[in-house]
Amino acid sequence: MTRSFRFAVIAALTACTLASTGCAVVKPWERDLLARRDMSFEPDGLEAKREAHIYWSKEATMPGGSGGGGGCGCN
Amino acid sequence: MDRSDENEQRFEAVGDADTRAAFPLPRPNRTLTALATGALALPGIAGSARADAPIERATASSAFSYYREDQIPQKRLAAGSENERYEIFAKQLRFDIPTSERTDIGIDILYEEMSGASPWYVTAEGGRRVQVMSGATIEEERTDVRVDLDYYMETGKDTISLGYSVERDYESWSIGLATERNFNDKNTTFNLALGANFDEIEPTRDGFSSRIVSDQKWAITAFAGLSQVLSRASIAQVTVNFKHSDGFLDDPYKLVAPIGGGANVSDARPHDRDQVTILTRYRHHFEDIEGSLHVDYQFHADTWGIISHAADLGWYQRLADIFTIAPSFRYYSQSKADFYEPLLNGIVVPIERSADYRLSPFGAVSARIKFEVEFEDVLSYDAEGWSERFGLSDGLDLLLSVAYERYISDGDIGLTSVGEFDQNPGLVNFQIISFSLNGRF
Repeated sequence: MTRSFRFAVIAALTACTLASTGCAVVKPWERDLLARRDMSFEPDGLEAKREAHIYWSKEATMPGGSGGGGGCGCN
Repeated sequence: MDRSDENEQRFEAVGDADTRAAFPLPRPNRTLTALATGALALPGIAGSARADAPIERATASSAFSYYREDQIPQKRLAAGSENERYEIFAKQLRFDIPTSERTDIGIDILYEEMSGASPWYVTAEGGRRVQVMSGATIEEERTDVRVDLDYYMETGKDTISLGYSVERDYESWSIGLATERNFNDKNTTFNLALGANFDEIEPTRDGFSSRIVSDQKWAITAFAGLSQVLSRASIAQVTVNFKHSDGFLDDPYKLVAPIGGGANVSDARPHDRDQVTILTRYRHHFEDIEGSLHVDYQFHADTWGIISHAADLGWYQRLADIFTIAPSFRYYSQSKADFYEPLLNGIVVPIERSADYRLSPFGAVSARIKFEVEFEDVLSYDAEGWSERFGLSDGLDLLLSVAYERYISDGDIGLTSVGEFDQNPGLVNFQIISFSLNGRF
């Protein structure tokens, strides 16, 4: 694999390690800000799906996270 | 006591009145609130950011979007070639309905109508690379239906998804299984999913006897994701997708031309492809100015030699309690596929070859702007019995939004410099305008 791929894997593993150490414990009653729609990873599901599908059909990348990728003979 | 009353009481005990103004779609349970975990990029899976309980109120979302590609500049277009590229009208509908104390169902429907010409092959004119477009205007429509069934438990949820997509020359079936588990007082969420899809293509032949009659491809996808609450106002997520595709991966409608003239040959790609995508997302809310920062970075690599990077930066600003304005910016860069050659250079035709602009080296920038307005309790009614059971409460909330995106791609925008030979004249610029209307019942 290429150098940049190795770098990305290391970055992802580092992020996972940091995350799993549990940076902070936020109690359920402290989650008001995290509950906001604009704090969601995908505030608008239909839009996320549409965007992923368009990028997937115009670029050579499989989208991460959510949405499209496959299912059409787009040209 | 019914679920909504119970929830209301818990909500008051928690006392975060600020969240009343928010309009989460689907709405997370306010007490065990949204550890927004990412949806799954599996064929057949579109998980949504939800806590570990079914939604309480049914939601319906609809969107209409118009996508239009720019014409190719004359200097990059072959003499006499068609110049109208794609335009697509898409309509989307999604319903999320609670079906029991532990289950809910999501139904996604997409219908799109496409028309226009698409890049056919690259040729040389006057020392320049120019694009030849498909002769006739293509008229096509696609329908895509997906159903997600969620089963919730104390520590997470399991999802099964089924999908079907059909167009005149293409059919795709997909299935996905996903699981989500919360740990660490629900500050950490782990997602795992597997998916498979099977696609069948029957190209319209339009008198081109060299085109295949029909062929198939299949793919399996694996997904793992980890979300972590970092503080009361920030959350991050890392997801990894792996996809193995096998079968007919060529584009039956594209050709490759030899540089010195002679017969064009068909687009021919490897019969398998492994792809890895790593996506990292970060969200932070600035309470004093009521704004949220979104930062995404995505890395992709595959066995065709394509490496890509995408960075996305967005800001959601709330105004006057009911409006949101959200500008965002995306940068994308990809390297070329090993077998990409806009014009065949050698005497021997390589076994694998493609002049498809999507496999060329290029970069792209896109700028978006979105406006949202939300109205709570537009209608009041008394839901009783069965209607309450399927998520009707006693009021209707509405969310309206309009969004615009401009996307520009070019060989010179990419991270690495692209030689004149590799720059593809068919690279696309497009714009999208979309409207959406969402209701929570």
